[in-house]
Amino acid sequence: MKKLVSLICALALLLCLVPSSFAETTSSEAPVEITYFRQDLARNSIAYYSDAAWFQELEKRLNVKIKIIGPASTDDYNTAVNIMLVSGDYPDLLFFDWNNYNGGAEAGVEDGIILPISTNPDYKAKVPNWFNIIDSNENIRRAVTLDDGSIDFFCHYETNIARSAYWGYAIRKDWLDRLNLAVPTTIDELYTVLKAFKEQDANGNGDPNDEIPLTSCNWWTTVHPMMDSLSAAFGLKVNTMYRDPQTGKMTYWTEYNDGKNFKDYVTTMRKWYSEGLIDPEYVSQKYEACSAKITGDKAGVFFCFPDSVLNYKKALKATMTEAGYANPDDVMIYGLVPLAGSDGVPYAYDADNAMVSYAGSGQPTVITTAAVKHGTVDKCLELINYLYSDEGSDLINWGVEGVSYTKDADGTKHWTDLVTKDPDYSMSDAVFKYALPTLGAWPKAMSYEAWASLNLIDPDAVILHQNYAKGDPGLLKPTFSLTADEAETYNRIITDVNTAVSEVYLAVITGTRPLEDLDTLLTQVDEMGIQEAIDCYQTAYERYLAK
Amino acid sequence: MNTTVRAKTRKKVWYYGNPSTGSKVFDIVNIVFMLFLVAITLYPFLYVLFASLSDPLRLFAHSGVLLAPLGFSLKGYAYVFNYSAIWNGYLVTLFLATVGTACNMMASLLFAYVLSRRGTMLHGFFTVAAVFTMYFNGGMVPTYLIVKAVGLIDSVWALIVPGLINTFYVIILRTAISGVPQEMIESAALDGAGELRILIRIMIPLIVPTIVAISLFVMVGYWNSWTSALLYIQDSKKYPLQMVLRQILIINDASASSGAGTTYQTGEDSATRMLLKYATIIVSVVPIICVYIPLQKYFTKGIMIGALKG
Repeated sequence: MKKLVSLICALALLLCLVPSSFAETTSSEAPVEITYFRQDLARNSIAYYSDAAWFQELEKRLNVKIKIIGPASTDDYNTAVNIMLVSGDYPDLLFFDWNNYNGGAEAGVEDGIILPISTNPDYKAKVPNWFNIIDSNENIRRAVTLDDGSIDFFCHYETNIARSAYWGYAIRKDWLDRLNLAVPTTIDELYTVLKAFKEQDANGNGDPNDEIPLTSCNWWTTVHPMMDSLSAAFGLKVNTMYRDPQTGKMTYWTEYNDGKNFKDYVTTMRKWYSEGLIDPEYVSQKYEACSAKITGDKAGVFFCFPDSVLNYKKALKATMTEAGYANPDDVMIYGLVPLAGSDGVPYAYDADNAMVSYAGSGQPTVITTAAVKHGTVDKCLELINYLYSDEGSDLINWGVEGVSYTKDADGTKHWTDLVTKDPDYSMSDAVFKYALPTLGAWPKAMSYEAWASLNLIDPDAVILHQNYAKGDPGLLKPTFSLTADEAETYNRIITDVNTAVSEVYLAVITGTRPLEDLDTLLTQVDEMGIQEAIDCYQTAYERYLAK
Repeated sequence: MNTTVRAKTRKKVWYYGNPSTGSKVFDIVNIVFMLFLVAITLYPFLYVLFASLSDPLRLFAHSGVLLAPLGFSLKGYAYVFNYSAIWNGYLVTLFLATVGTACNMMASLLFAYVLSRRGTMLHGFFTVAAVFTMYFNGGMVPTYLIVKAVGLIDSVWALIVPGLINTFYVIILRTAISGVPQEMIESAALDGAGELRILIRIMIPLIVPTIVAISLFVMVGYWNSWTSALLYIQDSKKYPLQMVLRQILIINDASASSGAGTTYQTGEDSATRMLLKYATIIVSVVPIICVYIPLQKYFTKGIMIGALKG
């Protein structure tokens, strides 16, 4: 028995020894180590930030070692952050959407997690770049200021808000041309076009019945991007609070205009669906299945990001070449200006409200109180300040000069062959090995030029982007946060309401429920206390406007 | 030896005489049904295999059933080889599957042996205590706090130590050990063997099939685990393979990209991403299948021994 005990003890000791060998040994003149809890890079071409050229250069320039911790996928990430917060063992820097924290960022400060910056003159003086930007731009200031007037987090901001016009839908211009149709600008015109796609041989393969006039996918239960986008033409936004374009107040889509527009939208879609104009699988199919229909030359109208254009076209050309088309290069993905509804305004639909988001306040980085304990506050502030500087901005958006980009005499930047001619990866993948041009979520300036150089390569993407930008942001609301009490009331009501609404309106569109159910739904939603939820948002919105 | 002889005689009885028409019909129906089962279980795997060998652009434009790769390209595997996270994940998972399984079996065997010896002190208490943990546990946060207090956060050992003993396996092992005649233990004791020697020299060789079967369970468990990594590991370079796989599979799902971290504007090549996903699944599944094939003969035998004599 004694032997056994000593054996176990010896083994236990052995077990304890091994993990320490995993830790890196640090020498005396080593750089300051900062822990940064955030999602790692995880792109096709590169897994870790620590392997990226700009990141290594950043560490070298500032003599700092940034240790990235945390899982890369979003669902996992929020779980991991919550566990970490419970444990009380904070990193120096933390990336987290505080809307997922009870009471928002204010509560984060009160609970002693977030280190207050703007109220501390010492700290504030160390990030002049950030506060200069805030002082110079009213919209950015509103977006990042908390209700109590303090500014305690750092996020990316737009140097040119035009970048944000990325939400919208496109049509196959070559299909339109084949059928001699004009680009639709209203819901009625779109109906005519879809009808033609349905009845005629729009893709020109000899079979008039294989076209799916309009397709959409299901991102998550309540979001069907293409179908949702059409609701903007009725002055609606699906399952969310939005700005009533007439009154400028917050509203909900079943409440807007007493539910008339809601009924109108659902009835129209129901009609289209029954006539086979809408992909019958749209309610449940995933992004991949939907993409396959688009790139398989089957879909006429579909949701499309500017950066998808290139991928779609490449795949479409491959499909068409294989099918033996004479001119596969004729493919044209044409981004539509949002369709005008009854009041003639082309309202933009944008689930992210990006067109009015001047700063990524939903994706902020904070310095935690632990940084004081670890003695890394100054280094953290220096790092953040540097990322906002012109030099730091070039580094994060374009990488290292001479390696991933070159600069002309007039200051225009160009990617080098390392990025544009990578043997394995496309340009949009390869670039992540050197820089972070298309991704926000860091304290940084979003460079429009860097973004455009990757997203607007294809001429179709340029037109698409310009047309999306013509949308009217009347329905969009800026990002603001609710107080803990408001959030509680709001969430209690809205979760049930959204479930009830989704259940009914999707079933009515697909014809499994009668139209009359909509009236029942509208009364039901009222009884569930939707007005109270709207009031919560309205109060918060007024607070935002008063900032 | 004894068992194989018995199995042979049983076989003879089964095929004795001419099978009746009813039995023939049953056989045919049975075989067809089983082949159907094989096909539907195998197909998802084949689909992923074909997809991983396809040409990315054609795969991107394809929907529906795949009966052969679309074109042929090893690009997917080239992407996997370039993706350092997968190799880090592999190392961690191999560590878990070998060292973890060994630790797990060692602890379980010791515990099972003690539980199998009826005369030991507090025997009843320990048995009840062990069974108790099968039905009740401390919950996620308390367990996390303990792991943290012991200083195992962000260490690969956090993936092994908290789940070192699985009571269910201990009970199967205990039953297997109890099946060995008491007289053998007594005679070994008479010859001067201590408890540890009895366990190592007598018990373990006698219950090898059970041990192999349980080891395989444990190993597959480690191979497939990711939740504990999500809780206890912070440095993504220490993630096991399944966690890496999970991230590749869901991170750039358009549906996952709104909230924290990524914006919709990812500027990523979706055809490449698709191929990377499929190739990673194959790379992560094949090794454990390779382990299954040579060990499966122990599988039913090992479990049966534990069950029958209990």
